Amino acid sequence: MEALQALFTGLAGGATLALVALGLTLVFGVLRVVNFAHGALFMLGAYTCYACTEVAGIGYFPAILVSAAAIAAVSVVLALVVFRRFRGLELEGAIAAVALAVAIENAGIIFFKAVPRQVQGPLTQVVDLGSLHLPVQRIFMIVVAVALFGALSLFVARTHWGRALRAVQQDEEAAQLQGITVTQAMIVAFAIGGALAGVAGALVAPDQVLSPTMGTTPLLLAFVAIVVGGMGNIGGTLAAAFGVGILQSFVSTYWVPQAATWTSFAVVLLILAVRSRRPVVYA
Amino acid sequence: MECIEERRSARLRGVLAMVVAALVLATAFTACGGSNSDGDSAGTSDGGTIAYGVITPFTGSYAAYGMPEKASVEAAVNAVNAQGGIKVGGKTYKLEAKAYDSGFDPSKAVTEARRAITQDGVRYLEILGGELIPPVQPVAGDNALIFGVANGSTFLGADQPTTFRAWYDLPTSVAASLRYLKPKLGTDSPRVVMLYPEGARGKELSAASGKRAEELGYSATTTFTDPSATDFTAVLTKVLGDKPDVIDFGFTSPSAYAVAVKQARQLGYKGRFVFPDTLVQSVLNKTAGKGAAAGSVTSPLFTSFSTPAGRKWAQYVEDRSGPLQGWAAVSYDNVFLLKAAIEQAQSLEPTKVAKALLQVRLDHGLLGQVRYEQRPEVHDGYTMVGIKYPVGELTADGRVKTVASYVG
Amino acid sequence: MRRSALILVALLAVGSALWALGANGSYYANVGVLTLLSLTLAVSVRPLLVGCEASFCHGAFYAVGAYAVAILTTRTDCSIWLALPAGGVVAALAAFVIGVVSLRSTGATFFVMTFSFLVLTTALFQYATGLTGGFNGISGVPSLVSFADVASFYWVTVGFAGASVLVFAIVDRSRWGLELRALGESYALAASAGIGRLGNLLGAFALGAFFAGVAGGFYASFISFISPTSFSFWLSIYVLTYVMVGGARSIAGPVVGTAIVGVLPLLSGWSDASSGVFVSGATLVILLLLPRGVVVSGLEALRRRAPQRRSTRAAEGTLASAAQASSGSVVRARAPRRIDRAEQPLMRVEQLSKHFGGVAALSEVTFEVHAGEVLGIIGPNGAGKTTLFNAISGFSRPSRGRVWFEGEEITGVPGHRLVHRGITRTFQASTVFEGLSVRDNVLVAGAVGERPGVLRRLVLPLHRDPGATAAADRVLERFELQGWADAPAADLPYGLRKMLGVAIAMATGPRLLCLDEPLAGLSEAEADRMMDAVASLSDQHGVTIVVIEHRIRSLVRVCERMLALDAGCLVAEGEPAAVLANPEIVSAYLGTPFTEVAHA
Repeated sequence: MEALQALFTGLAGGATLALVALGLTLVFGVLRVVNFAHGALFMLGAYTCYACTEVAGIGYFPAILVSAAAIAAVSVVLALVVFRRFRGLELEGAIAAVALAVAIENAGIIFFKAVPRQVQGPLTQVVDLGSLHLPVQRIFMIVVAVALFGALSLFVARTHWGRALRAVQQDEEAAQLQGITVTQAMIVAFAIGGALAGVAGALVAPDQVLSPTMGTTPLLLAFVAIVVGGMGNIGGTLAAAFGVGILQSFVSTYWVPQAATWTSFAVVLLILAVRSRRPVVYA
Repeated sequence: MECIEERRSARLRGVLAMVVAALVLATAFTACGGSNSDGDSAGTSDGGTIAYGVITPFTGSYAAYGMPEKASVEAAVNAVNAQGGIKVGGKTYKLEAKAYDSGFDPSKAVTEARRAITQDGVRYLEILGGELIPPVQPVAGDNALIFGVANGSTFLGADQPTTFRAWYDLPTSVAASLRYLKPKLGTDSPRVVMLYPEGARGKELSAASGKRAEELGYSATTTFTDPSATDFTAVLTKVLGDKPDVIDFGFTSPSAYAVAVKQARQLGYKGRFVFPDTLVQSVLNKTAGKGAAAGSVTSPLFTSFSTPAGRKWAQYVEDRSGPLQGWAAVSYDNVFLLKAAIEQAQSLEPTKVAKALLQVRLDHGLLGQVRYEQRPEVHDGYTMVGIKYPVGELTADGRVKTVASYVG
Repeated sequence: MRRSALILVALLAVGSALWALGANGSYYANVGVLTLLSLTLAVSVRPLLVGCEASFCHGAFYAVGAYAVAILTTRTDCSIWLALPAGGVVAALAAFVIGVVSLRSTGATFFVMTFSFLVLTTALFQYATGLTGGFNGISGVPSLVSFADVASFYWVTVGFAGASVLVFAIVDRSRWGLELRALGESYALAASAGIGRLGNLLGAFALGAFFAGVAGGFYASFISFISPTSFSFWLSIYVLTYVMVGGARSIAGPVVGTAIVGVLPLLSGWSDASSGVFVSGATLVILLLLPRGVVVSGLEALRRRAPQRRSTRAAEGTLASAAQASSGSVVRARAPRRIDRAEQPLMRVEQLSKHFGGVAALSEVTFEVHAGEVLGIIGPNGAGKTTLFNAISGFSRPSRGRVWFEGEEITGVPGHRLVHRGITRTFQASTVFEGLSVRDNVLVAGAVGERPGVLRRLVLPLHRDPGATAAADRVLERFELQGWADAPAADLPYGLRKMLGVAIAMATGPRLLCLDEPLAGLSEAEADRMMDAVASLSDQHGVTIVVIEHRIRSLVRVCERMLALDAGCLVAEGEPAAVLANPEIVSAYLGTPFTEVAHA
């Protein structure tokens, strides 16, 4: 049935978005930093996977782990060098993040040139259920996204560092009195965010042709997801991400594909307009 | 809130930042002074060099088009100069290629066109991209010939006597493939879907292709894709519901259609594909797997250049820009047509050369016997004709076998 | 600041002249036009940035203006000169619509909403083929001057860009500009100074959009052809970059920022990607070194040297008078006023309740405030005192109950409007506009009584307004802050900040002044001085004062009546001695009975 196929496609798309959005919401929730460079990290994750599988010859699954680690490292470096400087200067930090994103993207264009690159994944089978066709790579994407969400939730709720992050989110000074510095929280949040972006990039790599600008659209849609789902709210972000993915898929299938992006934004606008009827100054 | 230590080092950082800003400004002024000063202020035709300008994207999402075009033009320029240059009024001129990055942005294209025409003395401009040509046309006016490397015809017309379309006709290419395929499909009423990127070009070309398909006895429908999309599952789900026999990709980029082919097969599509624009087998094989598009046709198939000149050209372009982009041969042949026209007109003046372009012909071009002609289907504008459209079939091991040839 | 702006204008003029002269052909003029349009965009997105909101759809207004001008000139007989302002008006209307919907939010939510508008307008241009020509775009837009004459077009653009910078410079120096800066510092504090957020930001948004729209019209006229691909979504982001690199706090910021970051991509012959790396890299480096932007950091560095001396002198002076005050002050308790029951109470609060989820922060609080009195409010932390303040001053909507002021019901009226009606409150934290000078802190609140006309508010440079400046100085004198008048409020020591907070509130000329813990963190001497000031406000100016305080000793010296709250309920009311002796209060709050109430 067409609708079920569209639903599956939407879930797969939503899975990618969820991984990107979770990283974004974690960083924003804890540190109030709007990380516009997150899309670039996603792109770097995909290219790292390419470098591992096509250039270095490592298998695909190890490549995913390498991407996660590598992008986590890059993310932490960016946090320490750039984002730490803009604590308390939200607007300047946002612009700096945009500059970072543009720099990385253009550097990618120069370095990788315009040659399209592909990753050959091992999961090329398709599960056929009657007229429903479920590529295994996409099932894998959905499973990984849900699993990582579960892991993240556990981490935030149960572990020391998870609680540390929540502490910093609620009251920085009190957290510092407990021995948790903002820098430590920054490293943890950005590392996790980066790892998630890296995994997302590696997951979509076999399904797409890589290009240095591939991070822009996922970033924008991820922002939509985190604002709708609630900044810093992990469960809400996941739900919103899947929601956006499904909306995109249904609009593409039942209406016209080019309407998908603007429809998502129109829906977001409506949701936010309704939500913010009360002016921001007064409770 | 900066803490006290930061204030002390603030002055030092302030100085540092001023230095950075000064460096940045200094670099800007030296850059603007130094940019594009290759050679003398050429093209002022005092018997030295004729400048041929190429405005094409080297950056942005269409960057893949820039390098092959530039390489192809350079190959042609080298060949012309090796054969003795261009002779006008008893003097011999060398040809020189100048490339400008348009980034596929109209205002950049206009800026670069102004730079080319007023600073670099360019009088013959090749511009890639149908959306970039209309803004440049008024800038060029009578001072420069424009060769539009683009599909579509919005920029052509009897009121544009100095604009020429240096490209092949996509609908003719589609028709060549569909004509070959029809008897092989095993049905009397074959269905073809035009899956073209959204846009002005997309609308115009899909309509023209659809018309040619219907003339051949197909029933044709069109669905548009998002030009920047990398995932086609949703749109394919919709399209495959109508059970088409052929999917025509139009001018969809190779990266995009490679993914689309793969995903169509995953969704259970068993029909054929048509790649009427350019076929990059390496990308297709890698992404969709060898044989994923087996049985499909492609046209025009510019990759089978068997003449010595063709092989030399192919080698030159491949060395500089990666896997061969056959369409770039249009730019190659165009340079020779220009040379012939200048020598025919015995003048460098663009309006005179334009008139001469309609009188000359290239007998052994890479693409066939090519020339420019005024055609009613492009608003009485001038477009390249005489191009051969070989039709090839993709084999199960991912190679192309030429099976037919049409001239359009 | 004035001088440096003049210098920059001069530089710009010289720079333009150099360009036009140095250009051998239309190329530099071409670059010049595009740069000047970028400059206009940067300057026009700044007012909203000053108010601390970043709009990500400024490029959309540019595009809307361009399309409006293109449609008007190609489909109707409209002349290009008429079409340009019309394009601006269309863009301003679009901004009004977008603003009304999205300016109720802030920060990242606002960003996503404006970005959504950008995406939607782009889709409109692409698909509303009948109106906009869709992907084919619109060609044949007439030029402002004869077509091939790029140099003349360039000069017209110089005029337009210069006019834009001038307009925004004037706005910057006017009262409205100061109000926007105050909003950028703190919305709540600005509201307590009578400055409404939505109206002012909407105005800034629409004004900026007007100029962006006209600039778009210039673009359409210059290139003569526009299509959806002419307007990349990155433009909205780059425009913000130009302002931030130069510094949003100064009108010269966007000018310098555009010069550093906006010109290079046009001027250099580098490929797009190399320009991109260079420009974004330079932006990043500059922002890392100077987060507040080049111009602003430069000006701050200059300012740090001069006022140091002034501040030290002022500080010495204030400390001296503080020493005097503590040695000789006799702060006596006030005798209770005879309350004439026939007189209508200034404020009446009836059954006021406020719930946050399941928590009842206030439960059915009922009391009156009499004209001219000083009423104290005490209670343990979490009793609901500040919640009560929020409810009666319009900073929070009560869940139930009603409030009357001077006989009229004011339940639910927003705080900034209540300021104009005569009720002002202070805050426990964030009592001042940090980035403004001490004088400006008071100046910005001073318009409440006067209601200046539009011209005076938007155009007249505030520092040339003798009436306003004199009034502000008088307020400063009363609070002994005149020595600090030109220093940034952030430089004030803590005690003086609290004083300034009260000064700001007084500058609004209230009839009812609500002070929220004005003594928190002050030394004994400072607390006495503060209470002297409060007492004199009541005695000499007849202002009715309600004070929340924990320092009972200081409080009893000025207040005639007291209320006690505990866990959201009104527990006691009446003369201070009685309230403080109330056993419930003693057990819930005081610990031991308070026996030091001295009567005059």
